Amino acid sequence: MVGYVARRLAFAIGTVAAASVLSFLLVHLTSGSPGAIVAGQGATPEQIDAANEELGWNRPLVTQFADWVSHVTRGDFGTSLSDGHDIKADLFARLPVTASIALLATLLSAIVGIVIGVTAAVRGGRLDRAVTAGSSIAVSLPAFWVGVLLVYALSIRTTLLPATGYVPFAENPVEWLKSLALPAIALAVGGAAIVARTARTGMVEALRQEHIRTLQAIGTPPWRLRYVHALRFASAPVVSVLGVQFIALFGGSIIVENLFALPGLGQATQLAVGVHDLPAVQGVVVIATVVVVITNLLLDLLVAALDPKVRTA
Amino acid sequence: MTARAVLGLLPEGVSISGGAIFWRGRDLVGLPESELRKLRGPEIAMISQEPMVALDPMFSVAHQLIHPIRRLRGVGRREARRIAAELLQQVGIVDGRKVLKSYPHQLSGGMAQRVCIALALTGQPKLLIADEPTTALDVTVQAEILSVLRALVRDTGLSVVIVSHDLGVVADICDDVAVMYAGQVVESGSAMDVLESPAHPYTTALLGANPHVPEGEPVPARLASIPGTVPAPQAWPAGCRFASRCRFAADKCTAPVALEPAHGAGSVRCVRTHELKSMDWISPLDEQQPTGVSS
Amino acid sequence: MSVLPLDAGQAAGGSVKRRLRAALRKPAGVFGATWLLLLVVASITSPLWLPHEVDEQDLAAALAGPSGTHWLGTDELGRDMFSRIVAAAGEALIGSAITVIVAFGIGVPLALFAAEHGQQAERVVSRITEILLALPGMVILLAVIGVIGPRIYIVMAVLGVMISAAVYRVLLAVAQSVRKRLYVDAARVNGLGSLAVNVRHVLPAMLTTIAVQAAQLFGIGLLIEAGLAFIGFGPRPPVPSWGDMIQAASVHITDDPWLMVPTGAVLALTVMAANELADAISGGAPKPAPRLARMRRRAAVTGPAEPRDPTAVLEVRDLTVAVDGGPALVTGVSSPWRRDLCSAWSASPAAGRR
Repeated sequence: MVGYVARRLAFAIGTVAAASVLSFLLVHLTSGSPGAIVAGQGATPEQIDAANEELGWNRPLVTQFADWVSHVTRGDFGTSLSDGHDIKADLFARLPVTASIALLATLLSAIVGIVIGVTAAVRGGRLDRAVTAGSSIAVSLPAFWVGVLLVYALSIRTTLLPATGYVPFAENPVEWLKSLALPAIALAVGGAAIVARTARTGMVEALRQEHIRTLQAIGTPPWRLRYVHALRFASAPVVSVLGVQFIALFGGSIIVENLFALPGLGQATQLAVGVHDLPAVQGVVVIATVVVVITNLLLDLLVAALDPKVRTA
Repeated sequence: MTARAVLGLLPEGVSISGGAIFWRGRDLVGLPESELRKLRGPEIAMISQEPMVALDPMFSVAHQLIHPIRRLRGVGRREARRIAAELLQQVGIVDGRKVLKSYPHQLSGGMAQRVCIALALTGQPKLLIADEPTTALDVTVQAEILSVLRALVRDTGLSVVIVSHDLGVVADICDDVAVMYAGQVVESGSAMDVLESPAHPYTTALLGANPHVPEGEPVPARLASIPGTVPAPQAWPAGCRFASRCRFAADKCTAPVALEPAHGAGSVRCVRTHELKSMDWISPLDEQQPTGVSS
Repeated sequence: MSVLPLDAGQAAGGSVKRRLRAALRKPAGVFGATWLLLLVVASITSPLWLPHEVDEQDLAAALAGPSGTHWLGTDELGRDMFSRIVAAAGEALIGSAITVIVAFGIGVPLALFAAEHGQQAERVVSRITEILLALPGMVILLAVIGVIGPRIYIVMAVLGVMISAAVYRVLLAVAQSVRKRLYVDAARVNGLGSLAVNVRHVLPAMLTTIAVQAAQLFGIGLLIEAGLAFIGFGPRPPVPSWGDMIQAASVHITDDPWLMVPTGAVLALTVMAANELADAISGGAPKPAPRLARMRRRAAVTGPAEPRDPTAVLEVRDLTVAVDGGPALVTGVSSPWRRDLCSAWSASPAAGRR
């Protein structure tokens, strides 16, 4: 168990390091100069060069990287090139919005997907075929399109849920949930379909295991066979698919935030990317990676807790 | 297949299409699943041929034993734990405490099969169906498992049906035997009669192919082998199903063969059984090529 | 934008050609292939027959519903939706195809390499691809756009690089299992070079999986491409793109909800077509769960029977077990078992079980 956790932790750190290097190189090897943005439009080459010098852009790459890393590890992502705000403060204010959407969407996908997938596997027959067909439609629907349709159905035709705006959790938990419900549902449609498929396949596989036969031969009641033994067996693939899903839904939430006018990372990224605010872009990459990696680390621990082979190793 | 049919646990797409299975005077064929389930455990139990995959890998041995014990014997957790330890002792596990805490992947094949037997015993069944219980195990472990089964029959009044292709195993612990070939019983009777004086060529061939040599007897120079393979179910002939591989086959073997009484209460399914006084599967026949030799 | 967990289509059984042909006999496969083909042909030939110019504005008919002149209605500038959707297809299909080609261009050689060069090479490559998979892909794509601007094809190629990790993971398993097979060893012993072994033996075995994955990835590529265009990082206007058109339509959700339908439906149908094609190639309907046992009533020929041997605990009489609608596996088995005995069915393995 200790060895396993250590390995996963090392992997998580490696991933964050890789993301840092990647985002640093991406910015420094390919792009022209941030000085141009700081100096503003119509600046002379001398002005741009001076701005670059001031930003430390003209130093050797290694020095810049070391400098950047030492700042980032202290939580200093620098200041935005476009408006001069502290990037860390800005991104940390926005992170909860995006992370909440991704988390809610993952949770919703997990609950709905597992219930549907397990029921399909257990009931079989027509319901099973309907779920299989339905899930292949659901995975094909673009989340942002589903989002718009949801807005139309739930905010415009009826006024069940607000289409836009964000209420912080601390202010009013119920309103917070309401403000995030539509984006979370929009993302969860595809997510739940994928989880349902995985859960269904896992359950079918589990019910074919020899140990289920053993349990049957001593008269174990069917509900126990299904919902204790088979479900437990099928849990490992489902949990690992949830890890993949969280990454995907985090990305998806960046896109749907735009639609619901939510002040999350998506909005910040969109703004930063639009004006080539590279330090801010770097910050987003690092923070997003850290969030995704931590979530996956937690899911890895859950897998370990569920699997005695890992737990007892 | 036959063994699974008794418990109503046939694989998907296979079902009983005729006949009857009487369990203590009651026909099990056609019983609803809920009735059958009441029998599984307290009346009839089964152990499988692959002990390593027969236990739930996600739960500890203790958990897997205690649950059915509580359900089938209606006892509390503490009492169930005691019974679990007792069962493990009964199947010859010395270090019961440790095994209870273990997970299936930490057990050896022989240990897992013992746990499987203990699991099958949780409901105190009257009949244990053992489906090739030793095939996947080492020879030394096989003998241990068989002695566990033998002790159970002797001490607890349990009946055991063993499905096996190993006549050594049958000779070792069985009282009665029914030899099956291609989905049919070809010979049955008390194990001693059938194995000492087989009346069906297939049994003879099987015995000749058995590498186990009883103590004190000379090791045969070579083992018999049966040419060809068991025909697929679609290709079963109307007559004797063994005829195409039988060195004694004659024209009349193509007609359907009925079971005839033999070995006292037993039976045999061979039209030539009385003509063939000595069914030697090994020494060459005059009119036939010697059959292949395997070592 | 959810990325499907790429499941290896059961690679076993049948050549790709046979799989493809079989896929085209299933309704799902027919739908997938036809729709994609139709879209490709339509977008290539579109300059010849499109009813309206892509940026032809008809402000008088802005936000009109479907009509004889505008089959799918018009957008806020009175531009013909049908023409715009068809015209945007090309870019969407090419972009997604780039992702697929790059993903396989990297993933296949990596898988072949790792499968061939033993544990250490495999471990190194696998670790790197795992890290690639653990990165938040969408954010990285946006970062790329932040640096180089919304150059779709390059961005889609970067997506291909990231997805190649997933491709590698699935194909590695296939390549390894093929390499374990004897004929590959035999080919090597016969002096076939490493490249030849890969091309002649390993690659063909991977083709079915590649076909399934490619179709699936194509759908994912389309969704991500449209998602990027939706938040404004698609092709520059006036070049139409599906994502951008959905964005524009969402603004008019209150006054013209219909506008959401055509583009979204075409995008969804295209992704669906790719997925259905993938499913059809991989072998179609997933297998159902086993029923938790049931005992089929015996044929009603036999009347209520009585046990023949009253002393028997278990008596099997004339038992026949058969494959449903198929041959019998066990016929006429009869045997009484007495109490407290150890008995045996000694069955030849092939007949005793399947």
